[in-house]
Amino acid sequence: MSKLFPFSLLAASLLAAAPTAALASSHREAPGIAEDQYVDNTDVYAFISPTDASKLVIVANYVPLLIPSSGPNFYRFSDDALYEIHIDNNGDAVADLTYRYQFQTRTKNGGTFLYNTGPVDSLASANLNVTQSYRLSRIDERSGRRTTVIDNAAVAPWHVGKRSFPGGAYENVALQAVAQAGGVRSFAGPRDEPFFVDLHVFDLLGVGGAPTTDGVNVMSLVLEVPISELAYGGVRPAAGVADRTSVLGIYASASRRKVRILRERRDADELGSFVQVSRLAWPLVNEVIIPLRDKDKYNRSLPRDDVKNFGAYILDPEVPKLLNAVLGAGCAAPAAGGRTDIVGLLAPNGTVAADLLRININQGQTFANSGFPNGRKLTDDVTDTLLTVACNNGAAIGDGVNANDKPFTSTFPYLASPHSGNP
Amino acid sequence: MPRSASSSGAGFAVRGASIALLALGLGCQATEAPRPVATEPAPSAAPRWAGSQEELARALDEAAQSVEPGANRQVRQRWLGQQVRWTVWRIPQLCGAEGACYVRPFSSARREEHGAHGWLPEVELTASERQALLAGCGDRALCQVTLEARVDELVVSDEAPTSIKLGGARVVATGDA
Repeated sequence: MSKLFPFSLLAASLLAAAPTAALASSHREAPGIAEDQYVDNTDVYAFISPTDASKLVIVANYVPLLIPSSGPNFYRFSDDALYEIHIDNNGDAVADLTYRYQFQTRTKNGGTFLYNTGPVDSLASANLNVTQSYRLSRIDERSGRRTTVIDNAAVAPWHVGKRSFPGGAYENVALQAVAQAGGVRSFAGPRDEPFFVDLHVFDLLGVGGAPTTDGVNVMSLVLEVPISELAYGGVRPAAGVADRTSVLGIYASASRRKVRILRERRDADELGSFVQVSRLAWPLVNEVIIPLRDKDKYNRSLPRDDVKNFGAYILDPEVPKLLNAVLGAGCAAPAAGGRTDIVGLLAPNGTVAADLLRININQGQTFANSGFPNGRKLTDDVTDTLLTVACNNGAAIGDGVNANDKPFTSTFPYLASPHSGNP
Repeated sequence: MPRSASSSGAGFAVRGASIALLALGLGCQATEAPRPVATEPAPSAAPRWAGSQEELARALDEAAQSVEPGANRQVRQRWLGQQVRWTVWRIPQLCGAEGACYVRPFSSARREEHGAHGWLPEVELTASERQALLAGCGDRALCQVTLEARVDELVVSDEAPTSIKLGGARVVATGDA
Protein backbone atom coordinates (compact mmCIF):
# COMPACT_ATOMS: atom_id res chain seq x y z
CA MET A 1 0.00 0.00 0.00
CA SER A 2 1.42 3.33 -0.94
CA LYS A 3 1.78 6.06 1.56
CA LEU A 4 1.22 9.60 0.43
CA PHE A 5 3.29 12.40 1.76
CA PRO A 6 1.51 15.65 2.52
CA PHE A 7 2.88 18.72 0.91
CA SER A 8 3.35 21.79 3.05
CA LEU A 9 4.34 25.41 2.66
CA LEU A 10 7.25 24.74 4.97
CA ALA A 11 8.38 22.01 2.66
CA ALA A 12 8.06 24.38 -0.26
CA SER A 13 10.39 26.83 1.41
CA LEU A 14 12.88 24.04 2.06
CA LEU A 15 12.82 23.23 -1.61
CA ALA A 16 13.66 26.76 -2.59
CA ALA A 17 17.37 26.06 -2.42
CA ALA A 18 17.12 22.70 -4.11
CA PRO A 19 16.56 21.82 -7.74
CA THR A 20 13.19 20.35 -8.62
CA ALA A 21 12.70 16.74 -9.60
CA ALA A 22 10.88 15.35 -12.57
CA LEU A 23 8.90 12.14 -12.35
CA ALA A 24 7.19 10.76 -15.39
CA SER A 25 8.91 7.68 -16.62
CA SER A 26 10.63 9.46 -19.47
CA HIS A 27 8.09 11.80 -20.90
CA ARG A 28 9.73 15.05 -22.03
CA GLU A 29 12.54 14.31 -19.60
CA ALA A 30 15.36 16.23 -21.27
CA PRO A 31 15.47 19.72 -22.77
CA GLY A 32 16.64 18.60 -26.19
CA ILE A 33 14.25 15.74 -26.72
CA ALA A 34 11.32 17.82 -25.49
CA GLU A 35 11.75 19.80 -28.72
CA ASP A 36 11.52 16.65 -30.83
CA GLN A 37 8.45 14.89 -29.55
CA TYR A 38 8.16 12.21 -32.24
CA VAL A 39 11.41 10.55 -31.22
CA ASP A 40 10.98 10.84 -27.47
CA ASN A 41 11.08 7.43 -25.76
CA THR A 42 8.61 7.26 -22.92
CA ASP A 43 8.69 3.72 -21.52
CA VAL A 44 9.98 0.22 -22.15
CA TYR A 45 8.29 -2.93 -20.89
CA ALA A 46 9.43 -6.55 -21.17
CA PHE A 47 7.65 -9.64 -19.95
CA ILE A 48 7.26 -13.29 -20.76
CA SER A 49 4.23 -13.57 -23.02
CA PRO A 50 1.08 -14.36 -21.06
CA THR A 51 -0.17 -16.39 -24.01
CA ASP A 52 3.02 -18.25 -24.94
CA ALA A 53 5.79 -18.66 -22.39
CA SER A 54 8.30 -19.43 -25.12
CA LYS A 55 8.10 -15.82 -26.26
CA LEU A 56 9.14 -12.46 -24.89
CA VAL A 57 7.02 -9.33 -25.28
CA ILE A 58 8.78 -6.00 -25.56
CA VAL A 59 6.88 -2.72 -25.60
CA ALA A 60 8.65 0.48 -26.59
CA ASN A 61 6.57 3.63 -26.32
CA TYR A 62 7.27 6.98 -27.93
CA VAL A 63 5.67 10.41 -28.37
CA PRO A 64 4.40 11.28 -24.92
CA LEU A 65 1.16 12.59 -23.48
CA LEU A 66 -0.99 12.75 -26.61
CA ILE A 67 -4.38 14.43 -26.49
CA PRO A 68 -6.86 12.20 -28.36
CA SER A 69 -8.56 15.07 -30.21
CA SER A 70 -5.31 16.32 -31.69
CA GLY A 71 -6.41 16.76 -35.30
CA PRO A 72 -6.21 17.46 -38.07
CA ASN A 73 -2.61 16.15 -38.15
CA PHE A 74 -2.95 13.25 -35.78
CA TYR A 75 0.13 11.73 -34.22
CA ARG A 76 2.26 9.10 -35.92
CA PHE A 77 5.86 7.94 -36.01
CA SER A 78 8.49 9.99 -37.77
CA ASP A 79 9.37 8.85 -41.29
CA ASP A 80 12.88 10.22 -40.90
CA ALA A 81 13.88 8.40 -37.74
CA LEU A 82 15.04 4.96 -36.65
CA TYR A 83 13.12 3.40 -33.80
CA GLU A 84 15.10 0.54 -32.31
CA ILE A 85 14.89 -2.11 -29.62
CA HIS A 86 18.31 -3.36 -28.55
CA ILE A 87 19.07 -6.66 -26.84
CA ASP A 88 22.20 -7.58 -24.89
CA ASN A 89 22.24 -11.36 -24.48
CA ASN A 90 25.63 -11.96 -22.87
CA GLY A 91 25.66 -9.46 -20.05
CA ASP A 92 28.32 -7.07 -21.31
CA ALA A 93 25.89 -4.17 -21.71
CA VAL A 94 26.55 -4.04 -25.45
CA ALA A 95 23.70 -4.72 -27.88
CA ASP A 96 23.97 -8.06 -29.66
CA LEU A 97 20.66 -7.79 -31.52
CA THR A 98 18.64 -4.85 -32.71
CA TYR A 99 15.06 -4.76 -33.99
CA ARG A 100 14.63 -1.66 -36.14
CA TYR A 101 11.39 0.02 -37.20
CA GLN A 102 11.37 2.45 -40.13
CA PHE A 103 8.18 4.20 -41.19
CA GLN A 104 6.70 5.67 -44.33
CA THR A 105 3.63 7.91 -44.53
CA ARG A 106 1.33 8.09 -47.54
CA THR A 107 -1.54 10.45 -48.32
CA LYS A 108 -4.17 9.32 -50.78
CA ASN A 109 -5.72 12.71 -51.34
CA GLY A 110 -3.65 15.78 -50.64
CA GLY A 111 -6.52 18.02 -51.63
CA THR A 112 -8.30 17.73 -48.30
CA PHE A 113 -7.40 18.48 -44.71
CA LEU A 114 -9.15 15.35 -43.50
CA TYR A 115 -7.26 12.42 -42.00
CA ASN A 116 -10.09 10.21 -43.20
CA THR A 117 -12.62 11.23 -45.81
CA GLY A 118 -15.42 9.02 -44.56
CA PRO A 119 -16.21 6.29 -42.08
CA VAL A 120 -13.48 3.67 -41.73
CA ASP A 121 -14.28 0.00 -41.21
CA SER A 122 -10.98 -1.60 -42.18
CA LEU A 123 -7.33 -0.81 -42.69
CA ALA A 124 -7.90 -1.15 -46.40
CA SER A 125 -10.67 1.46 -46.39
CA ALA A 126 -10.37 3.99 -49.18
CA ASN A 127 -11.58 6.56 -46.67
CA LEU A 128 -8.41 6.25 -44.63
CA ASN A 129 -6.62 9.15 -46.26
CA VAL A 130 -3.39 9.29 -44.26
CA THR A 131 -1.70 5.94 -43.67
CA GLN A 132 1.64 4.84 -42.39
CA SER A 133 3.50 1.58 -42.93
CA TYR A 134 6.77 0.19 -41.62
CA ARG A 135 9.57 -2.25 -42.16
CA LEU A 136 10.84 -4.27 -39.22
CA SER A 137 14.45 -5.43 -39.53
CA ARG A 138 16.58 -7.62 -37.33
CA ILE A 139 20.26 -6.76 -37.05
CA ASP A 140 22.85 -9.14 -35.70
CA GLU A 141 25.20 -6.60 -34.18
CA ARG A 142 28.11 -9.05 -34.06
CA SER A 143 28.07 -9.85 -37.76
CA GLY A 144 26.29 -6.72 -38.97
CA ARG A 145 23.85 -8.94 -40.87
CA ARG A 146 20.46 -7.32 -41.36
CA THR A 147 17.35 -9.25 -42.29
CA THR A 148 13.87 -7.98 -42.97
CA VAL A 149 11.41 -9.57 -40.57
CA ILE A 150 8.24 -7.83 -41.73
CA ASP A 151 7.83 -5.41 -44.62
CA ASN A 152 5.11 -2.96 -45.57
CA ALA A 153 3.12 -3.61 -42.41
CA ALA A 154 0.38 -1.13 -41.55
CA VAL A 155 0.48 1.20 -38.59
CA ALA A 156 -2.83 1.32 -36.73
CA PRO A 157 -4.66 4.58 -37.42
CA TRP A 158 -5.40 7.27 -34.90
CA HIS A 159 -8.69 6.88 -33.04
CA VAL A 160 -10.20 9.98 -34.60
CA GLY A 161 -13.68 9.56 -33.10
CA LYS A 162 -17.07 7.93 -33.22
CA ARG A 163 -18.01 9.43 -36.59
CA SER A 164 -14.88 8.12 -38.24
CA PHE A 165 -15.14 4.69 -36.62
CA PRO A 166 -18.87 4.20 -36.16
CA GLY A 167 -20.32 1.39 -34.15
CA GLY A 168 -17.18 0.91 -32.08
CA ALA A 169 -15.23 -0.19 -35.12
CA TYR A 170 -11.93 1.33 -34.09
CA GLU A 171 -10.31 -1.53 -32.20
CA ASN A 172 -11.27 -4.05 -34.88
CA VAL A 173 -9.54 -1.86 -37.44
CA ALA A 174 -6.53 -1.28 -35.21
CA LEU A 175 -6.01 -4.97 -34.56
CA GLN A 176 -5.85 -5.58 -38.30
CA ALA A 177 -2.45 -3.89 -37.96
CA VAL A 178 -1.05 -6.84 -36.02
CA ALA A 179 1.61 -8.28 -38.32
CA GLN A 180 3.15 -11.72 -38.10
CA ALA A 181 6.08 -13.44 -39.74
CA GLY A 182 7.48 -16.72 -38.58
CA GLY A 183 7.18 -16.66 -34.82
CA VAL A 184 7.38 -12.87 -34.56
CA ARG A 185 4.38 -10.64 -33.98
CA SER A 186 4.48 -6.89 -34.23
CA PHE A 187 2.15 -3.97 -33.67
CA ALA A 188 2.77 -0.27 -34.24
CA GLY A 189 0.26 2.43 -33.52
CA PRO A 190 -1.52 4.52 -30.93
CA ARG A 191 -2.51 2.98 -27.61
CA ASP A 192 -3.76 4.23 -24.30
CA GLU A 193 -0.79 5.60 -22.30
CA PRO A 194 -0.06 2.70 -19.94
CA PHE A 195 2.17 4.61 -17.55
CA PHE A 196 0.31 5.82 -14.48
CA VAL A 197 1.69 8.56 -12.29
CA ASP A 198 0.80 11.78 -10.54
CA LEU A 199 2.56 14.40 -12.64
CA HIS A 200 1.85 17.02 -10.01
CA VAL A 201 5.20 15.94 -8.72
CA PHE A 202 6.52 18.62 -11.04
CA ASP A 203 4.80 21.14 -8.83
CA LEU A 204 7.36 21.02 -6.03
CA LEU A 205 6.82 17.32 -5.35
CA GLY A 206 3.12 17.92 -4.83
CA VAL A 207 1.99 14.33 -5.34
CA GLY A 208 -1.42 13.40 -4.05
CA GLY A 209 -2.88 10.61 -6.12
CA ALA A 210 -4.00 12.58 -9.17
CA PRO A 211 -4.12 10.22 -12.18
CA THR A 212 -2.64 12.76 -14.54
CA THR A 213 -1.82 10.37 -17.38
CA ASP A 214 -5.39 9.15 -17.63
CA GLY A 215 -7.10 9.96 -20.90
CA VAL A 216 -3.98 10.41 -23.01
CA ASN A 217 -2.43 8.22 -25.68
CA VAL A 218 1.05 7.22 -26.76
CA MET A 219 2.60 5.67 -29.86
CA SER A 220 3.50 2.04 -29.18
CA LEU A 221 5.75 -0.56 -30.72
CA VAL A 222 4.92 -4.03 -29.47
CA LEU A 223 7.13 -6.95 -30.41
CA GLU A 224 6.66 -10.59 -29.48
CA VAL A 225 9.63 -12.79 -30.31
CA PRO A 226 10.58 -16.41 -29.57
CA ILE A 227 13.04 -16.28 -26.69
CA SER A 228 15.34 -18.67 -28.51
CA GLU A 229 15.82 -15.99 -31.18
CA LEU A 230 16.99 -13.56 -28.53
CA ALA A 231 19.07 -15.83 -26.31
CA TYR A 232 22.85 -16.06 -26.48
CA GLY A 233 23.82 -18.70 -29.03
CA GLY A 234 20.17 -19.13 -29.97
CA VAL A 235 19.54 -21.43 -27.03
CA ARG A 236 17.30 -20.56 -24.12
CA PRO A 237 19.19 -21.22 -20.85
CA ALA A 238 18.06 -24.16 -18.78
CA ALA A 239 16.05 -23.61 -15.64
CA GLY A 240 18.25 -22.63 -12.73
CA VAL A 241 21.11 -21.22 -14.77
CA ALA A 242 22.18 -17.95 -13.20
CA ASP A 243 25.03 -16.76 -15.37
CA ARG A 244 25.24 -13.61 -17.46
CA THR A 245 23.49 -15.20 -20.41
CA SER A 246 20.43 -16.08 -18.37
CA VAL A 247 19.20 -12.50 -18.48
CA LEU A 248 18.55 -10.26 -21.43
CA GLY A 249 19.32 -6.56 -21.21
CA ILE A 250 16.92 -4.42 -23.20
CA TYR A 251 16.73 -0.77 -24.16
CA ALA A 252 14.92 1.22 -26.82
CA SER A 253 16.22 4.19 -28.72
CA ALA A 254 15.39 6.64 -31.45
CA SER A 255 17.84 8.16 -33.88
CA ARG A 256 17.75 10.99 -36.37
CA ARG A 257 20.02 11.92 -39.22
CA LYS A 258 22.75 14.38 -38.43
CA VAL A 259 21.73 17.04 -40.91
CA ARG A 260 18.36 18.54 -41.81
CA ILE A 261 18.24 21.15 -44.52
CA LEU A 262 15.07 23.18 -44.87
CA ARG A 263 14.16 23.91 -48.50
CA GLU A 264 12.12 26.83 -49.69
CA ARG A 265 10.18 24.98 -52.38
CA ARG A 266 10.13 21.36 -51.33
CA ASP A 267 10.40 19.06 -48.34
CA ALA A 268 13.44 19.25 -46.12
CA ASP A 269 16.41 17.00 -46.83
CA GLU A 270 17.62 14.63 -44.13
CA LEU A 271 21.27 13.80 -44.64
CA GLY A 272 24.13 11.98 -42.99
CA SER A 273 24.38 9.07 -40.64
CA PHE A 274 21.95 8.51 -37.81
CA VAL A 275 22.61 9.83 -34.32
CA GLN A 276 20.86 8.46 -31.27
CA VAL A 277 18.76 11.21 -29.71
CA SER A 278 16.76 9.26 -27.15
CA ARG A 279 17.12 6.04 -25.20
CA LEU A 280 15.34 4.34 -22.37
CA ALA A 281 15.37 1.14 -20.34
CA TRP A 282 14.59 1.48 -16.64
CA PRO A 283 11.81 3.93 -15.94
CA LEU A 284 12.73 7.25 -14.39
CA VAL A 285 16.51 7.02 -14.72
CA ASN A 286 16.90 10.01 -16.99
CA GLU A 287 14.04 11.68 -15.16
CA VAL A 288 15.34 11.68 -11.64
CA ILE A 289 18.83 10.21 -11.54
CA ILE A 290 20.45 12.29 -14.27
CA PRO A 291 20.52 16.05 -13.62
CA LEU A 292 19.71 18.70 -16.18
CA ARG A 293 23.29 19.25 -17.30
CA ASP A 294 23.57 15.68 -18.55
CA LYS A 295 20.05 14.68 -19.63
CA ASP A 296 20.55 15.23 -23.34
CA LYS A 297 24.02 13.69 -23.10
CA TYR A 298 22.49 10.64 -21.49
CA ASN A 299 20.17 10.30 -24.48
CA ARG A 300 23.18 10.39 -26.79
CA SER A 301 25.23 7.82 -24.89
CA LEU A 302 25.30 4.03 -24.68
CA PRO A 303 24.41 1.82 -21.71
CA ARG A 304 27.85 0.20 -21.60
CA ASP A 305 29.29 3.55 -20.48
CA ASP A 306 26.67 4.34 -17.86
CA VAL A 307 28.85 3.68 -14.81
CA LYS A 308 31.78 5.57 -16.29
CA ASN A 309 29.61 8.51 -17.37
CA PHE A 310 26.90 8.68 -14.75
CA GLY A 311 27.99 6.40 -11.91
CA ALA A 312 28.31 9.19 -9.38
CA TYR A 313 24.68 10.16 -9.93
CA ILE A 314 23.62 6.57 -9.27
CA LEU A 315 25.75 6.27 -6.15
CA ASP A 316 24.54 9.59 -4.82
CA PRO A 317 20.99 10.11 -6.10
CA GLU A 318 19.18 13.37 -5.60
CA VAL A 319 15.73 11.89 -5.01
CA PRO A 320 16.02 10.81 -1.37
CA LYS A 321 17.52 14.17 -0.43
CA LEU A 322 14.61 15.97 -2.04
CA LEU A 323 12.12 13.64 -0.41
CA ASN A 324 13.66 14.42 2.95
CA ALA A 325 13.99 18.14 2.35
CA VAL A 326 10.57 18.73 0.91
CA LEU A 327 8.38 16.04 2.37
CA GLY A 328 10.22 15.00 5.50
CA ALA A 329 10.18 11.46 4.21
CA GLY A 330 12.85 10.16 6.55
CA CYS A 331 14.79 8.49 3.77
CA ALA A 332 17.85 6.60 4.93
CA ALA A 333 21.32 8.06 4.71
CA PRO A 334 23.34 6.28 2.04
CA ALA A 335 25.88 3.65 3.03
CA ALA A 336 29.56 4.53 3.12
CA GLY A 337 30.19 3.79 -0.53
CA GLY A 338 26.95 5.30 -1.72
CA ARG A 339 23.95 3.51 -3.21
CA THR A 340 25.76 0.38 -4.29
CA ASP A 341 22.46 -1.43 -3.80
CA ILE A 342 21.11 0.40 -6.84
CA VAL A 343 24.25 -0.48 -8.78
CA GLY A 344 23.56 -4.10 -7.83
CA LEU A 345 20.04 -3.88 -9.20
CA LEU A 346 21.52 -2.69 -12.49
CA ALA A 347 23.89 -5.66 -12.63
CA PRO A 348 21.99 -8.91 -11.93
CA ASN A 349 23.72 -12.26 -12.40
CA GLY A 350 27.15 -10.71 -12.75
CA THR A 351 26.22 -8.59 -15.74
CA VAL A 352 27.92 -5.26 -16.39
CA ALA A 353 26.06 -2.54 -14.53
CA ALA A 354 24.08 -0.42 -16.96
CA ASP A 355 20.70 1.15 -17.50
CA LEU A 356 19.19 -1.88 -19.19
CA LEU A 357 15.84 -3.47 -18.46
CA ARG A 358 16.98 -6.97 -17.59
CA ILE A 359 14.78 -10.02 -17.56
CA ASN A 360 15.43 -13.64 -16.72
CA ILE A 361 14.77 -15.84 -19.73
CA ASN A 362 15.52 -19.25 -18.27
CA GLN A 363 13.32 -22.12 -19.26
CA GLY A 364 10.43 -22.28 -16.88
CA GLN A 365 10.09 -18.51 -16.59
CA THR A 366 6.50 -17.43 -17.11
CA PHE A 367 4.50 -14.25 -17.20
CA ALA A 368 4.00 -14.60 -13.45
CA ASN A 369 7.77 -14.36 -12.91
CA SER A 370 8.02 -11.10 -14.81
CA GLY A 371 7.83 -7.95 -12.77
CA PHE A 372 10.04 -4.95 -12.31
CA PRO A 373 13.02 -5.04 -11.97
CA ASN A 374 12.92 -8.52 -13.54
CA GLY A 375 11.51 -7.09 -16.73
CA ARG A 376 8.51 -4.83 -16.42
CA LYS A 377 4.86 -5.69 -16.76
CA LEU A 378 2.29 -3.14 -17.85
CA THR A 379 0.66 -3.25 -14.45
CA ASP A 380 3.84 -2.70 -12.44
CA ASP A 381 3.70 0.41 -10.29
CA VAL A 382 7.29 1.35 -10.99
CA THR A 383 6.95 4.83 -9.54
CA ASP A 384 6.15 3.42 -6.12
CA THR A 385 8.84 0.76 -6.47
CA LEU A 386 11.53 3.24 -7.40
CA LEU A 387 10.53 5.81 -4.80
CA THR A 388 10.66 3.08 -2.19
CA VAL A 389 14.06 1.91 -3.39
CA ALA A 390 15.35 5.47 -3.50
CA CYS A 391 14.15 6.30 -0.01
CA ASN A 392 15.39 3.00 1.35
CA ASN A 393 14.06 3.37 4.88
CA GLY A 394 11.98 0.21 4.99
CA ALA A 395 8.69 1.97 4.34
CA ALA A 396 6.74 1.73 1.12
CA ILE A 397 6.10 5.12 -0.39
CA GLY A 398 4.48 6.23 -3.59
CA ASP A 399 2.64 8.82 -5.57
CA GLY A 400 -0.84 7.57 -4.80
CA VAL A 401 -1.62 6.46 -8.36
CA ASN A 402 -1.55 2.70 -8.41
CA ALA A 403 -3.21 1.53 -11.64
CA ASN A 404 -3.89 2.51 -15.21
CA ASP A 405 -7.15 4.14 -16.20
CA LYS A 406 -7.96 1.33 -18.66
CA PRO A 407 -7.55 -2.40 -18.13
CA PHE A 408 -4.85 -4.07 -20.19
CA THR A 409 -5.82 -6.90 -22.48
CA SER A 410 -4.86 -10.55 -22.22
CA THR A 411 -4.09 -10.84 -25.91
CA PHE A 412 -1.54 -9.25 -28.20
CA PRO A 413 -0.74 -6.33 -28.22
CA TYR A 414 -1.78 -6.31 -24.55
CA LEU A 415 -2.02 -2.51 -24.32
CA ALA A 416 -5.44 -0.91 -24.02
CA SER A 417 -7.18 0.66 -26.98
CA PRO A 418 -6.38 4.37 -27.34
CA HIS A 419 -8.75 7.03 -26.15
CA SER A 420 -11.06 8.35 -28.83
CA GLY A 421 -10.74 11.88 -30.10
CA ASN A 422 -14.52 12.15 -30.08
CA PRO A 423 -15.96 9.53 -27.73
CA MET B 1 46.67 25.66 -12.07
CA PRO B 2 47.20 22.69 -14.34
CA ARG B 3 49.99 23.12 -16.85
CA SER B 4 49.23 23.12 -20.51
CA ALA B 5 51.01 20.34 -22.34
CA SER B 6 51.36 22.41 -25.48
CA SER B 7 52.70 25.56 -23.81
CA SER B 8 55.08 23.48 -21.72
CA GLY B 9 56.46 21.86 -24.85
CA ALA B 10 56.85 25.21 -26.60
CA GLY B 11 58.72 26.57 -23.61
CA PHE B 12 61.26 23.78 -23.74
CA ALA B 13 61.71 24.34 -27.48
CA VAL B 14 62.46 28.07 -27.00
CA ARG B 15 64.88 27.34 -24.22
CA GLY B 16 66.57 24.67 -26.32
CA ALA B 17 67.01 27.11 -29.19
CA SER B 18 68.53 29.72 -26.85
CA ILE B 19 71.04 27.24 -25.58
CA ALA B 20 71.94 26.23 -29.14
CA LEU B 21 72.47 29.87 -30.17
CA LEU B 22 74.56 30.45 -27.10
CA ALA B 23 76.69 27.44 -27.95
CA LEU B 24 77.17 28.71 -31.51
CA GLY B 25 78.25 32.08 -30.17
CA LEU B 26 80.75 30.43 -27.92
CA GLY B 27 82.07 28.49 -30.90
CA CYS B 28 82.94 31.74 -32.70
CA GLN B 29 85.03 32.81 -29.78
CA ALA B 30 87.20 29.76 -29.65
CA THR B 31 90.25 31.68 -28.67
CA GLU B 32 88.70 32.84 -25.51
CA ALA B 33 88.91 30.81 -22.42
CA PRO B 34 86.02 28.52 -22.02
CA ARG B 35 83.27 30.02 -19.99
CA PRO B 36 80.65 28.24 -18.15
CA VAL B 37 77.61 27.57 -20.31
CA ALA B 38 74.40 28.93 -19.01
CA THR B 39 72.41 25.96 -17.96
CA GLU B 40 68.75 25.28 -17.43
CA PRO B 41 67.83 23.62 -14.20
CA ALA B 42 68.12 19.87 -14.68
CA PRO B 43 64.74 18.32 -15.44
CA SER B 44 63.31 17.04 -12.23
CA ALA B 45 62.83 13.32 -12.00
CA ALA B 46 59.67 13.91 -10.05
CA PRO B 47 56.57 14.14 -12.25
CA ARG B 48 54.61 17.37 -12.31
CA TRP B 49 51.06 16.70 -11.21
CA ALA B 50 48.45 18.24 -13.43
CA GLY B 51 46.08 19.08 -10.61
CA SER B 52 43.45 17.62 -8.40
CA GLN B 53 40.14 16.17 -9.47
CA GLU B 54 38.46 19.18 -7.88
CA GLU B 55 40.46 21.42 -10.19
CA LEU B 56 39.41 19.32 -13.16
CA ALA B 57 35.77 19.51 -12.06
CA ARG B 58 36.08 23.27 -11.73
CA ALA B 59 37.57 23.51 -15.21
CA LEU B 60 34.72 21.40 -16.58
CA ASP B 61 32.17 23.62 -14.85
CA GLU B 62 33.78 26.74 -16.25
CA ALA B 63 33.88 25.25 -19.75
CA ALA B 64 30.22 24.26 -19.49
CA GLN B 65 29.30 27.84 -18.58
CA SER B 66 31.60 29.43 -21.12
CA VAL B 67 30.31 30.93 -24.34
CA GLU B 68 33.81 30.94 -25.81
CA PRO B 69 34.27 28.49 -28.68
CA GLY B 70 36.89 25.92 -27.89
CA ALA B 71 36.45 26.02 -24.12
CA ASN B 72 35.95 22.28 -23.98
CA ARG B 73 38.93 21.68 -26.21
CA GLN B 74 41.12 23.79 -23.95
CA VAL B 75 40.21 21.72 -20.93
CA ARG B 76 40.98 18.57 -22.82
CA GLN B 77 44.30 19.86 -24.08
CA ARG B 78 45.28 21.02 -20.62
CA TRP B 79 44.62 17.66 -18.98
CA LEU B 80 45.00 14.90 -21.53
CA GLY B 81 48.26 13.01 -21.20
CA GLN B 82 49.09 14.70 -17.91
CA GLN B 83 50.16 12.90 -14.76
CA VAL B 84 47.86 13.15 -11.79
CA ARG B 85 48.18 12.15 -8.18
CA TRP B 86 44.68 11.82 -6.88
CA THR B 87 43.16 10.52 -3.70
CA VAL B 88 39.97 8.72 -4.65
CA TRP B 89 37.54 6.24 -3.13
CA ARG B 90 37.33 2.61 -4.14
CA ILE B 91 34.08 0.65 -3.84
CA PRO B 92 34.34 -3.15 -4.21
CA GLN B 93 31.25 -3.32 -6.44
CA LEU B 94 32.85 -1.04 -9.03
CA CYS B 95 36.46 -2.15 -8.74
CA GLY B 96 36.97 -5.79 -7.92
CA ALA B 97 39.36 -8.58 -8.75
CA GLU B 98 38.53 -8.47 -12.43
CA GLY B 99 36.83 -6.31 -15.01
CA ALA B 100 36.84 -2.55 -15.29
CA CYS B 101 37.76 -0.50 -12.24
CA TYR B 102 35.86 2.71 -11.54
CA VAL B 103 36.54 4.90 -8.53
CA ARG B 104 34.70 7.72 -6.84
CA PRO B 105 36.58 10.96 -7.42
CA PHE B 106 34.69 12.89 -4.76
CA SER B 107 33.14 12.30 -1.42
CA SER B 108 29.36 12.19 -1.37
CA ALA B 109 29.33 15.67 0.16
CA ARG B 110 30.68 17.16 -3.05
CA ARG B 111 27.31 17.42 -4.72
CA GLU B 112 26.12 19.84 -2.07
CA GLU B 113 29.40 21.71 -1.99
CA HIS B 114 30.26 22.02 -5.63
CA GLY B 115 27.44 20.77 -7.79
CA ALA B 116 26.90 17.50 -9.54
CA HIS B 117 29.30 15.52 -11.66
CA GLY B 118 28.37 12.05 -12.87
CA TRP B 119 31.70 10.69 -14.08
CA LEU B 120 33.65 8.02 -12.29
CA PRO B 121 37.24 7.71 -13.53
CA GLU B 122 38.05 4.35 -15.06
CA VAL B 123 41.42 3.20 -13.75
CA GLU B 124 43.59 0.91 -15.83
CA LEU B 125 45.51 -1.31 -13.46
CA THR B 126 48.20 -3.88 -14.11
CA ALA B 127 47.71 -7.19 -12.36
CA SER B 128 50.23 -6.27 -9.70
CA GLU B 129 48.71 -2.85 -9.06
CA ARG B 130 45.25 -4.38 -8.84
CA GLN B 131 46.64 -6.86 -6.35
CA ALA B 132 48.12 -4.01 -4.35
CA LEU B 133 44.76 -2.26 -4.36
CA LEU B 134 42.90 -5.36 -3.27
CA ALA B 135 45.44 -6.12 -0.57
CA GLY B 136 45.36 -2.58 0.75
CA CYS B 137 41.61 -2.13 0.68
CA GLY B 138 40.41 -5.61 1.53
CA ASP B 139 36.65 -5.78 1.55
CA ARG B 140 36.05 -2.34 2.98
CA ALA B 141 32.90 -0.75 1.60
CA LEU B 142 34.78 2.48 1.02
CA CYS B 143 38.54 2.66 0.82
CA GLN B 144 40.61 5.75 0.29
CA VAL B 145 43.26 5.24 -2.37
CA THR B 146 46.02 7.53 -3.52
CA LEU B 147 46.87 6.88 -7.15
CA GLU B 148 49.46 8.18 -9.53
CA ALA B 149 48.31 7.86 -13.10
CA ARG B 150 48.16 9.43 -16.51
CA VAL B 151 45.03 10.95 -18.03
CA ASP B 152 44.71 8.68 -21.05
CA GLU B 153 41.18 9.59 -22.10
CA LEU B 154 39.14 12.67 -21.40
CA VAL B 155 35.86 13.43 -23.13
CA VAL B 156 34.73 17.03 -22.71
CA SER B 157 31.88 17.93 -25.00
CA ASP B 158 28.60 19.74 -25.30
CA GLU B 159 27.13 16.58 -26.85
CA ALA B 160 28.68 13.64 -25.00
CA PRO B 161 28.94 13.02 -21.28
CA THR B 162 32.22 13.71 -19.56
CA SER B 163 34.33 10.62 -19.07
CA ILE B 164 37.89 10.01 -17.99
CA LYS B 165 40.28 7.09 -18.08
CA LEU B 166 43.45 6.93 -16.05
CA GLY B 167 46.24 4.75 -17.45
CA GLY B 168 49.51 3.51 -16.07
CA ALA B 169 48.07 3.72 -12.60
CA ARG B 170 50.21 3.08 -9.53
CA VAL B 171 48.70 2.58 -6.11
CA VAL B 172 50.62 4.84 -3.74
CA ALA B 173 48.63 4.38 -0.58
CA THR B 174 45.41 2.95 0.74
CA GLY B 175 43.58 3.70 3.91
CA ASP B 176 40.27 4.12 5.64
CA ALA B 177 37.94 6.57 4.03
